[in-house]
Amino acid sequence: MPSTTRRRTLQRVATLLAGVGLAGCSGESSSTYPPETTDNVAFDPESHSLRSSDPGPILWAGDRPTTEPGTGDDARRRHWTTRRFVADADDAAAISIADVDGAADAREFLDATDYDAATVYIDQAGIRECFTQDLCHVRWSETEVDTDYARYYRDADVACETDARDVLVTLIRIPEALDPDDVSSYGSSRGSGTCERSNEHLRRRRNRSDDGGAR
Amino acid sequence: MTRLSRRGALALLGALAGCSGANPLDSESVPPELDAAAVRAVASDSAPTVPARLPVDIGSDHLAATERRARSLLDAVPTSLGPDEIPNGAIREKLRDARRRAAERLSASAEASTPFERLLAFADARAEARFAAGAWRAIDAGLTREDLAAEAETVRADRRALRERWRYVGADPVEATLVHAAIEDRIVSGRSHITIGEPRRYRLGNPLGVGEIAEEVERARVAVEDAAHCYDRLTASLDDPVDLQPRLVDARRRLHEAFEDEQDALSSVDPREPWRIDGVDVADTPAAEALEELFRPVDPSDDDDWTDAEPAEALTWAHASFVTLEAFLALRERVREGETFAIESAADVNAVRTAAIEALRAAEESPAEPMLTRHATTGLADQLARADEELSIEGGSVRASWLRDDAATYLTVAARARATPAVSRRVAAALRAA
Repeated sequence: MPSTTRRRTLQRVATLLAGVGLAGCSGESSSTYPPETTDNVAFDPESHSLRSSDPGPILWAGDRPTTEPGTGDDARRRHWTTRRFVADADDAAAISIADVDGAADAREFLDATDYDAATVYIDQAGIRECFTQDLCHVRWSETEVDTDYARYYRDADVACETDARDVLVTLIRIPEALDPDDVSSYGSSRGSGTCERSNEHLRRRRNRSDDGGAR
Repeated sequence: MTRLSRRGALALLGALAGCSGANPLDSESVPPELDAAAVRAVASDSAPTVPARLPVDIGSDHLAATERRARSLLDAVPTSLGPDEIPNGAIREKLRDARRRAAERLSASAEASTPFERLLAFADARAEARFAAGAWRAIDAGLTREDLAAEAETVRADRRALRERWRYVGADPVEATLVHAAIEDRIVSGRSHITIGEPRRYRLGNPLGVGEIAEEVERARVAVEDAAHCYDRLTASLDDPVDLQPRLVDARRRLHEAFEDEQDALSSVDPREPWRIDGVDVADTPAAEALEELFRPVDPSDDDDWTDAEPAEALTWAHASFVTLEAFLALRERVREGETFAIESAADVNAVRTAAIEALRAAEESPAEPMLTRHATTGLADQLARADEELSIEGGSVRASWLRDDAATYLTVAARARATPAVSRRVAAALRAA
């Protein structure tokens, strides 16, 4: 079992990504992203979300990160935007989850995943306090993962302020056993339309690609 | 103005650097930097305002009624919406912003110098206030999008009824054209379309989505009401309500033919670089920007068929098209003679702005077809005011290249204003010809 290696990899990838954020991904993706016809898509995939207005970490591997809140915007932003993989049961066991709403369900989600057939991709990002989002789809290949969300207003009776931000962690079950070592490119998009429209749009694009390829 | 431009301490930097905003292929030098205070001073100098007018006697009763409606919609939204009323701060902010804009438009109506300007201000105020009122009722009383369907249907029926009885009547064909263009804009264009049920900016369940539909219903409602009022006032003023539609359609055809002939003057212009003139280098100057902006709407390769437009609107297009064509040709001639209108100092900004203001004033004072001319210069004065506004927020020092767009706006305003009176005479002559 490559658990130790995997755990190390997990930490390395998480650390790397914490530093790179979104900007670091864009340069590579255009050259390495597989064509629409060959990448994999899961529409409305199995997922679980955790949300917190506390700037401390929600989910981590190994020792709890000691980054104190309020150490500057850059540090906070790096903290907000991180991605990691859970690729086997040992990885899952190494994950700790803060005491936030839904923590027990998130733990259950990790433990119930069949890692021979699936990988949990953990996508963490900041979100304005008055908004929430639905996961529309995840696309992946051996080297890339790309998520798409629909962002929308929370209900009028949810107390929130326009300039406040929460951290939102989305655990996504990708139905393929990926090797995190091979994944080097990440993308994430957030639209203001519904997931229904976003997914339909992607389906049509993929159908057009398929038709084009058949000719 | 001379005093202001002289006061500007102009920093003409000769520093050379390889990574400036300038195109290194065009120049090796950094564009000069200007003192923002001097630029702001230029832009803050008074400029003419040309209030919108409509040659129809808008009744004070109608103005009072639409104002009452605007105020009642505004009053339906509490002035101090806080977290107790709307806990979600983003939704609360949207409501408050719309309410604030409505109140601002109502205040503007008090300053308006013509009844038509007041009518426009009330229409805007009603739409903004209705957004806020609709969203607030959704939160406070459970109003839904579907609850607005009956009112939408009433507005649609009113619009149908108006369209059925509406004829292109008038005494003076020029004035009638302007009134009917305003009516077309309100009941033929998309302004009074209401489409409940189609995908929207906000999701079902979001009170802002209810506000969005409420705003659309109000926009349509005020458009139909104002159009009906203008039409009724026009017909009431006529002893003999002759239908001028054949005359308008004929003028549209003849002007379009003439315009196509005159577009031949553009045959030597490269549509990709309409500013390029043999032997003259104006790339990246305000002159180039202005020529580009003036050329686009009259580019002969764009098939812009006026005959698809409504008769009165097409004639206002005809007016604008001739003005733009004349403005392009005149500015191009000046560039050929060596003018680039390069901006190297606040005094240069002042010069192009002053020329625009003088041209606007001259057009405004021109005796030729004042209604048609002012219809055009109202928009030109607005463009000038927007350029002024942009310059008025410049801070620190300003790189000359950043001012290119605003300087180009002053140039296009000047060129169009100069061309306007003659074009007004021409369009009026086409309308009045038997």
